[in-house]
Amino acid sequence: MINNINERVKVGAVFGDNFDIKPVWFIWQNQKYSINSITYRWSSRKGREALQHFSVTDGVNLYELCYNTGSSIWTLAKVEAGDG
Amino acid sequence: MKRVIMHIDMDAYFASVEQQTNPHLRGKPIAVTGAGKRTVITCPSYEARRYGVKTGMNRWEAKQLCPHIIFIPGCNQRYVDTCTRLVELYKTYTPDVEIYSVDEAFLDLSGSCHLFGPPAQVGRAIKDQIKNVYGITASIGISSNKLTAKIASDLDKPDGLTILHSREQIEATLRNLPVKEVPGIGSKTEAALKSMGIFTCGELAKIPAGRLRDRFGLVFGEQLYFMARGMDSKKVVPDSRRQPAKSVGHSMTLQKDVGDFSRIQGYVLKLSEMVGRRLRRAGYKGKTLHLYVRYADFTSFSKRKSVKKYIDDGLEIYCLAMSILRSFRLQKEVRMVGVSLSNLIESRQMPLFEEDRLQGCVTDAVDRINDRYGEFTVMRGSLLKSRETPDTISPAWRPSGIKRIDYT
Repeated sequence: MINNINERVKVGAVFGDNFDIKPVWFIWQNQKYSINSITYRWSSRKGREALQHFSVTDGVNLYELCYNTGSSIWTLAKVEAGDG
Repeated sequence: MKRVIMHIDMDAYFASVEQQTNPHLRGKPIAVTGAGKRTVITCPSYEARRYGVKTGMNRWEAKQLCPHIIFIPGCNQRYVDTCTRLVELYKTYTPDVEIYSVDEAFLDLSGSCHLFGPPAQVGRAIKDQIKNVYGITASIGISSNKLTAKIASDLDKPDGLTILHSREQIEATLRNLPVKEVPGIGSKTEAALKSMGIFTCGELAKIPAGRLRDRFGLVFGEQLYFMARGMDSKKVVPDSRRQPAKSVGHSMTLQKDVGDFSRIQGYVLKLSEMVGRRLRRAGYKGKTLHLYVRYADFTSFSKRKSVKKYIDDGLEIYCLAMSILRSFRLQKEVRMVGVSLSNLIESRQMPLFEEDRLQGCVTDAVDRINDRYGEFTVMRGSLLKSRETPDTISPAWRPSGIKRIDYT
């Protein structure tokens, strides 16, 4: 089941060549989550602001992280519990 | 120069994107649906298709065929953004890219084959890049025209690469191909051909052009004659060379059937504002409004009305739409509403009257706020309670220009 969260989170990310962004871990409700893999990424816009979305997994659950490139703010948009 | 036309068709596109996004869905029968409660299946995965689940079915029908099917509300943002990036990939091979729909494109490689190698090599390279970057697959058909390239891409799905080089190959492919598999032949034409005893392209090719023109009219009859022979002279037309849009419209299937006239007014206002916004963004005005209403029993009515003045303001569009709606007596509950404006011109001229200029200033200010902070950041007060928005990707959607729509 998908839960809409929309909370600001702290994210550790690698900013590589060609504007490539790779989130590596994030902290949510005082717990650190290490990202196993980025399963999908896409962009959207809200007004003038460009948003980068990342679907990531820690091996158990699926999370959607959203990076606002204008404000440099990361948000945990959604969480979906895994089958496990 | 020999024509080399490529058709790229993403395999179970929406479902594939969702399965790539969520590893728990991989290998399982899933069906992507619209976001609304009353929605149909927009894309079943290949696992679901094995049970007979098809696009357009409702949830109940799909559950009957596949009780353990998983329904996933679609994320249009993902699909349109991926399509936009795929088109940029295609353009690295040729500038002549025609976006046929959000999951299909035509490429004209006639002028660029000498740079990138044989067409099959280009096809494999594109498939590999799509798989490596997005984790999803495409089926590609390559031939000497758009019709046979599109037929070819369908022959070996999913993850296929089919080339129809020669006249002999094309004829052999078409000989036993059911007529309904030919792009451009829909269910009504198929039924008409079946009533003539024609079931395959090979049988259609034996019918003289005159008999087809008599039965289907001069234009379509002639088209059928050439389609049966795998002949098609239509060019690949990139968006930059397309004719300007003839109309701009939005429609919405309501979450529940609505009989309350004031609520229907609210939906018409929202659609009118959306149409006005797109017109202004693209620099167009129009003067013929088309209102479409579908009732809960799937009967419908539509009516056009033209005005003397070209308009692009949401409220003016709404007033015109309502003048049409009020001329009808709504007999049943409404399921769907559509508003579109046609007879378009580029809106270069400054308004003549002070009142219109002032209104234009207000609209311009609202547009600039919504450009900065997002759609409907500032809106008419009566729309504050209106949460519903169109939730399907229009077949006319394009990544840029007047046909671009930003999905939330």
